[in-house]
Amino acid sequence: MEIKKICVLGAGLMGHGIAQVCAQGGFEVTLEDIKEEFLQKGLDRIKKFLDGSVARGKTTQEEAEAVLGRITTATSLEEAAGDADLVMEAIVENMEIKKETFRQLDKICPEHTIFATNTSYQSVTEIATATNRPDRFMGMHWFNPPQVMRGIEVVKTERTSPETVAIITSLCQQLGKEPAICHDSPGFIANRLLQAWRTEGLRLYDENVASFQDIDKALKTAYGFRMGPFELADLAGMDVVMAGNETMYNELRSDVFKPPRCLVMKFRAGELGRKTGKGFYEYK
Amino acid sequence: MESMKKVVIIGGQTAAKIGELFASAGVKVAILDSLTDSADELARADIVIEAVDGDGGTRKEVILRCDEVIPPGAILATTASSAITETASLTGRPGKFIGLNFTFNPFQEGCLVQITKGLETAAETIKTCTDLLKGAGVTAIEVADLPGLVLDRVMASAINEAAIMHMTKVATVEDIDSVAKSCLNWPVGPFQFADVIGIDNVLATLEILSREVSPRFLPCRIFKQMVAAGRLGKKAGRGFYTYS
Repeated sequence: MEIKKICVLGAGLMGHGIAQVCAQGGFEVTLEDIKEEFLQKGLDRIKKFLDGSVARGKTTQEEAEAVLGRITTATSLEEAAGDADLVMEAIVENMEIKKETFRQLDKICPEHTIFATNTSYQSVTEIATATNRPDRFMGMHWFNPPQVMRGIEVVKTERTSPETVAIITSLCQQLGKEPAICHDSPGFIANRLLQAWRTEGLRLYDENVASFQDIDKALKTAYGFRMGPFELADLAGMDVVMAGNETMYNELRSDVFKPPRCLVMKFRAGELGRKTGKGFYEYK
Repeated sequence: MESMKKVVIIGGQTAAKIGELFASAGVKVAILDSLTDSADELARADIVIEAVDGDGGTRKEVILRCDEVIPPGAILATTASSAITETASLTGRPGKFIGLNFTFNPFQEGCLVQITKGLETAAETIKTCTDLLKGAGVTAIEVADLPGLVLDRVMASAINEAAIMHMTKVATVEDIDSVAKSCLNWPVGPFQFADVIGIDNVLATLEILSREVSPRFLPCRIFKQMVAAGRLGKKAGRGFYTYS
């Protein structure tokens, strides 16, 4: 099967970028969200990104316009996904809402349509149960910002067919991305690895082994990490980091993911990181 | 400026690398590969760094010998990454004993020193070492005397989890390394990293951490098997990857 039309659900942080990458790859894209204003905001972000690319000489004005020309918008699932070959879902990270959305899509879309979810922490296997096509259902986990990050986690369940995996893997390559195949499991590869690393860094501070500034400095200087565990926690936000830790800890029942005290305390104090102006570090 | 400290480093390859670092910054440094016929150098030293490659037995021998021959006011340091307090207690100068653990970035330029404080290490000893490293332009951090210090502990946690993912068939070695680089912007993947530092070293670190810090560091079974099979990483030509 050849993918020609792609529908992206959700025009937010991830969705708009995913739609842009697909349009840059030459695909016809329909971007769907529940409100017209969300779509407009998503389109504005795409335009801004493309304008920047043109200004830096990375692309031409004509190409940028062609990319935008391949993106249409819709506020109804019927209109957006009715003739899509692939639906990529990037809506709110909530199991029930995701399931309900796929339940509707299962009725709307042709039989051949492949469904992909961009969930970070929800079970792909469970979301797929909302459909009658678990063989054509998988995770496609993008990283922020999708226009820049090369890697995509291609998440297969016990029921995903090898054909579906092959189609999605080759699509990633067509989009200039590096797919990594993984089985449906908590946090997939990236978040599990990141958390094992970051959580241990935070725990060193809990145990007063070193200052948080020194822990960040150590990992950057000795091994060339671009950011340390505390800088990363500030960037993601304590609420997001906490939720991730809790999910992994509950799912895997491994102390590796037990939320460190310093994280819990920052969260409770409302010092969530960059977005509140203060986390482990202060931001002006 | 305070009078320039005379640094003596004892050991082989590691000692040479550390010596180079100091020498290039204009610090007066002598490198000794053994303690025989070096009485003069040792008797004039302000700071002696034991940087012996290999097992703990040799390290201990060198440290105890130095403790006897270097001036009473001199600082005695070890590059070991654990048991600083314990080793200090064997010397006659626990207040002037300290850990200076050098990590040379294996992938690009860069060196980090983890200045490790034993229970009895004096504040003045820490300050002298901090000033010496600062003067030599070397990045240093202060850490408590706990196995793995900062670097090994964080990396061991990531490498062990990666190995568990691999052994439980979440993903392949190649795909896990690829994700680390392309999704997390890591300089290398966890398995490439393990191969470079040596699978025997990874196993030893995890074993000491699981014993002394927390059972959460229980080594994934693959490491024991790889060590038994001689797949020690890059240095052996084969680890998680094969090298020619």
